[in-house]
Amino acid sequence: MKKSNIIIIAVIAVIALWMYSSYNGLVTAEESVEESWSEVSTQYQRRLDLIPKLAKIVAGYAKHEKEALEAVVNARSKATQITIDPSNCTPEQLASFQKAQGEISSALSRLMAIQENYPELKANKGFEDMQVQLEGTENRISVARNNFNKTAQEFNTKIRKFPTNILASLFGFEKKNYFAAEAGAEKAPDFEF
Amino acid sequence: MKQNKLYIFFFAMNTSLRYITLTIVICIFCIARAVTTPDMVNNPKTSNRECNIANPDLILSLSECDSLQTICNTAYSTAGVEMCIVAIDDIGDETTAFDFAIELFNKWGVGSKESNTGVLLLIVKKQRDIQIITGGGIEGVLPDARCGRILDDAINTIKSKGGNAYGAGLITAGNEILRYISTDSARKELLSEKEPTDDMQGLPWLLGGLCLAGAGIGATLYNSKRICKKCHKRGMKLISVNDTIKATPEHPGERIITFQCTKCGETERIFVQVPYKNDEHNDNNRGGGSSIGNIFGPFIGINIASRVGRGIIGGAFGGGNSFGGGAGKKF
Repeated sequence: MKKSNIIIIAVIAVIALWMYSSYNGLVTAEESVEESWSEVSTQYQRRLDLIPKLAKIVAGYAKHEKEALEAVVNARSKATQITIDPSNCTPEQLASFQKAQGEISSALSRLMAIQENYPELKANKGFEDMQVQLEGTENRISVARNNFNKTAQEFNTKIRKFPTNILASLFGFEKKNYFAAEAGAEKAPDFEF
Repeated sequence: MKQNKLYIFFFAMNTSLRYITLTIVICIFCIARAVTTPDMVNNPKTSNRECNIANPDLILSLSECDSLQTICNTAYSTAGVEMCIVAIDDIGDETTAFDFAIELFNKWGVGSKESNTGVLLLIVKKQRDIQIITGGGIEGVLPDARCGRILDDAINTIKSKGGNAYGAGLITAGNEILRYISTDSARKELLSEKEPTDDMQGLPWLLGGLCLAGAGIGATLYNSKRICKKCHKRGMKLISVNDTIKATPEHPGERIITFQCTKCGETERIFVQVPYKNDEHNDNNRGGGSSIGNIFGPFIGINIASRVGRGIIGGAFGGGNSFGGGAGKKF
């Protein structure tokens, strides 16, 4: 009688300890997904902040390139309207976010291409710096996205593995969405012959 | 089917033709293998802790490597910046120089975990690309635009010397990075200690941490008595710590630590170099009173000094990571 009681208590204690540690593990993993998402949105925001400065410099030199400029500004204003929370967003929401940002990328690369027609613009130090900053931001975006995908994938694997999956469904941890396509894929249609 | 036909064709040839075909196939293999992937580049620190330069394709000459290593050492001693320089012949068309560089940076962890002020310089000969990758902690001193200008100057050097002076270009870039990181304001930013991140969580960690801390304090107290060289007993006790030369931004300071054996009376004096940190830290470590701070102060001092003295010149790598900062240019 007493012995069985001790065994029951021990088993409960072991289960409680396991639940405690794996629940905390899940919380940590979810936090790191959110953290890497905030890095992604910071970098996208950084690019949005650069656009007005870039547009100002370009407008000073290339007055005839209204179309390319407007395309960038429009894409920017469209993208600022879409803000998503990765912890509860549908794949469609993420896809629309990605599409809006992709449109900025292609509009920007079209805008950057016009520098070939304006040697003065190309030689401008401010424009040159802006170009480097923009490239740096694109690089940061791709690093942050890869990082986000990695942490989201780790989290998804964690909540699907036995026996953590029982705990995950018990406490309502849900699968995270991640970026589908490579960063380069959305830039592909830039070349028109 | 097609492969089968090739196979029969190969054996139908006469011997000399067969050898020629074999040679061609081997040659094609050799050419294909000349493309370097990030996995093929060894971390320079694993073979030689004093080396910060990865030069697997022997693009840089010995004297260029020497000058670059001096730059790396100076960067580490003046501002704690760990620099890594990589020269590759051909990275192929599958990857970009940026992806290549950032993979190396994060794989090797250029920089330390606390300050994260690593810098990686990559030059690729065939793709004619040069990249600077900066760690998260140095982005304020070396923003992208500044990196871009550094690369412009490096490219000018390369072009002014005939277009193939890769080493000279890297030296120009390295010297400019050195110039930016050794200004007073930059050093203040780079050397300021970051607060340690709090990733401990929960009671078990706290208990484990307390046990570890207890063991650590015990071990430190035990080790605070060094083994006497004369009587070989653990009786050497700390007597005094004197800073003979105060550390300045230009020169490391010198410190004499005196021990005396409680068993046989033998005294031992140790000279250590103290790297310049900032003023408060130097003040804390001075003097030979009996407060806790002054017992542990000197030992932290020895730790830092012996790390530099033992030859991890130019930093040890292993803790840094980059968020993609820096710049890249084609030349």
